[in-house]
Amino acid sequence: MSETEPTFSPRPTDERDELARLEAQLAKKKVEVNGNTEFGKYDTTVPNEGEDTYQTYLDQRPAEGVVRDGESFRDNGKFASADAYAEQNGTAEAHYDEVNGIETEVPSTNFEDLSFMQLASELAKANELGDRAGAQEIRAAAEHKIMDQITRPGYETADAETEYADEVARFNATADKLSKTAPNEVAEATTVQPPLETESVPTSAYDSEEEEEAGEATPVSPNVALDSPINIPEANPTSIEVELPVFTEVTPDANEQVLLNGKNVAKEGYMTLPDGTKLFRVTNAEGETLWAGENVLEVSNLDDAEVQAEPDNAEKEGRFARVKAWAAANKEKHFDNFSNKYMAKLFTMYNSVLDYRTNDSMDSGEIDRIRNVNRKALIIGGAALGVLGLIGIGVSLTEHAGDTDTSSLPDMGNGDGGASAEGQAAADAAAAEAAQHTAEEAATTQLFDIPRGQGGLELFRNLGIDPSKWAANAPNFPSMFPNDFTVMDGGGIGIKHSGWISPEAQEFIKKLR
Amino acid sequence: MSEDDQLIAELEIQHLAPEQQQRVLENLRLQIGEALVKDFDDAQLAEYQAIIDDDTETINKWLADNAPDYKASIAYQQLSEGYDGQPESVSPDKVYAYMAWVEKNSPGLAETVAQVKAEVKDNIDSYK
Repeated sequence: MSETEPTFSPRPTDERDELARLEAQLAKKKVEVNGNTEFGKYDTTVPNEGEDTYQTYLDQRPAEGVVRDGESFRDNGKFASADAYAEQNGTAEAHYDEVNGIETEVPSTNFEDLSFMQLASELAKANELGDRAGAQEIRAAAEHKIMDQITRPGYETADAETEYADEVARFNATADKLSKTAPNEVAEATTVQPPLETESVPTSAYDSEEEEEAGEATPVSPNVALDSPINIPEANPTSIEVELPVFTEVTPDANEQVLLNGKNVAKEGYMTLPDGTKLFRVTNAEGETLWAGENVLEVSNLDDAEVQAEPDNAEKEGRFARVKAWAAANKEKHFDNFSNKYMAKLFTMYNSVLDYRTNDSMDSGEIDRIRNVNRKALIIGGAALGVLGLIGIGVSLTEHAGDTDTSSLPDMGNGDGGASAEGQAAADAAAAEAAQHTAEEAATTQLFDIPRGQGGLELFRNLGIDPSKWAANAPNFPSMFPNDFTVMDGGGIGIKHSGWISPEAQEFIKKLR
Repeated sequence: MSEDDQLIAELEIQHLAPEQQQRVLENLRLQIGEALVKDFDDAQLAEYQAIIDDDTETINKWLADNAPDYKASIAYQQLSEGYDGQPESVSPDKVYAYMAWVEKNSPGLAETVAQVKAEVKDNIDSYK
C-alpha cells in the first residue's frame, strides 16, 4: 500500500490575513486579561458563613468598630458613638450589599407621621424632582390627615365639604410656595447668625400657632427682640434655603427707636425677613450689637397727645413706650384667646392641650366637660401671664395715663355729674397722691432692670431693703426664681443675668420692703 | 419681646421646634390656670365664666365695680386702639376685664406663676 502525499493547497490570501488579525486580537486580549487579573479585577470575595451582608457581618462582631477619628480611622474595640455606628451601618452596608449584588429594601417614608408642613415640604421636593408617584402619595397622606381632622368625633362644622376643599387648597398652596421659595435645594437644618447669606426656613412652622394663613411660614419669629443667634430648631431636620435680606444701614434718628430693656435706643440699620418683618440692629449700653424685632417703637407714630402731654417726663414717656411695645407684641395673642378660629383649632387639633386629663374610655359628654374646664384654665393662665408681663415692664394693668385728658371719657362712677368744690379738692388730692404713688412705684420698678455685674445685695440696698433680708432670703432664690438667681461658683447667690428680673421675682422682693 | 418669646427664653426651650414650643407654652398656661383656679370659689368661677363668655352685662358691672376708670389706664388705651366696634370683633373691655379679674382675684399670682414655671421647666421632656 503506497502512501500518498498529502495534498497541500495554499490558503487564499484573505483567509491568511483574517487569521493574522484574529491572532493579534487574541494576543491583545490575553495581555488585557492578564493585566486585569494581576490587578485583582476578577477576584471574588466569599463571605464567611452567615455574613452575607455588612449588617450580618456587624451583628457577628458586636465588639468591633472602625470609626473615623479626624482624618484617620481607628479601631477602639467598639463604636465610638451612635453616629459612628450608623455611619458604618448605613452607607457602608448599602455599599457592600451593592457589591455583592444583594438587593436591599429602600425604607419608605411614612407620610402619615409627618406634619402638614413637613408633608408640604416633601411635596415641594417631589414636584421639584418630577416624582409624580411620590407627589401623589404625599397628597393622599395630606388629604387623609385633613379628612381625619374634619371627621374627628366631637368636631362640628357647617360645611365639611367646603372646609375639606379649603384645607386641601391651603396645603397645595403651601407646597407651591415652598417650591417657589426653594427652587433646587434642600439643606440640613442649622444654626445661623444674622446677617448671613442664606437662612433656613423651619418647615414645621406650618403647624405653629402663628401660622394660620397658608404659606406664611417665616424663618424667625418676628416678635423676638433678638439678642442671641437665630436658632433653627434641631428637631426640624428638613428645611429649605431661602435668601436672607440684605442689611440696610440707616442714619440714627431720635424718631426711630427700639425699646430695649425699657430704654429707647436708636436704630442703626435693619434687615427685612422673608415675611416682611424687619429686624433692627441696635447697640446696648454695654456696646453689644443686638437685633430687635417687633417691639419697635417709632416715636413719630405716637399720638401727638401722648408725646405732647409731658414732653419732659422721660419716665412717663418710657411707660407709654413700654406699654405700647407690650401691646404691639402681645395684644393679638390675648385677643386671640377669644377668637373662634383659635378655639376651633384647639378643639379640633389632635391631642391638643384641651385634651389634658381626657382618655378614650370617657364618653363624649365627659370629654367635652373636661375640655371646657381646660379651656377656662388655659384662658386664666393666659390672663395671668398678661398681667405679669405688664408688671415685668414696670406698669400695672390699672395704671392710669396720668395727665391724659379724661374729660371726654364716659362717667363710670357715681353719676351725679355735679361735683362740689370739696369733692373736687378731695378728688384732686387723691389724684395727686395716686400720681405720686405711681411715680414712686415706677422708680422702684426701674431698679429691677439690673445693670451688668450688679449683685443681689446691691439690689436690696437700692430698694431700701435691709441687707439682712438678703442673707435670709437669698438661699431660696435659685429654687424659687431659677431664671433670675443662681448659685455661683463660690457658693454665693448671684443674679443670673443683666436686664429685667422676672415679674414674679420683682413682686416677691417688693414685699420684703 | 413678646410674652411667648420671653417664656421660651425663661424655660430655655429655644432649641425645640416651634410646634413643640407652643405645646410647652400652652401646657404652661393650662397649669397656671389650674393652679389659680384652686383658690376660686364657685361664684368667682361663674363670674369669670360669664366674662369670657362675653356676657356684656357682667363685664360692664364688674368693670364699674372694680375698675371704674379703666378707660383711663394706659393698658386699656393700647388694647382698645384699632377696635372697630363691630359685633364680631372681640371687645377690648372684655380683654381688659379678663386680665384685670385675674389680677384682682389672685393675690398670690406672682408666686404661683413662678412655681408653675419652675415645675414645667423641670418637666420639659414630658411636654414634647
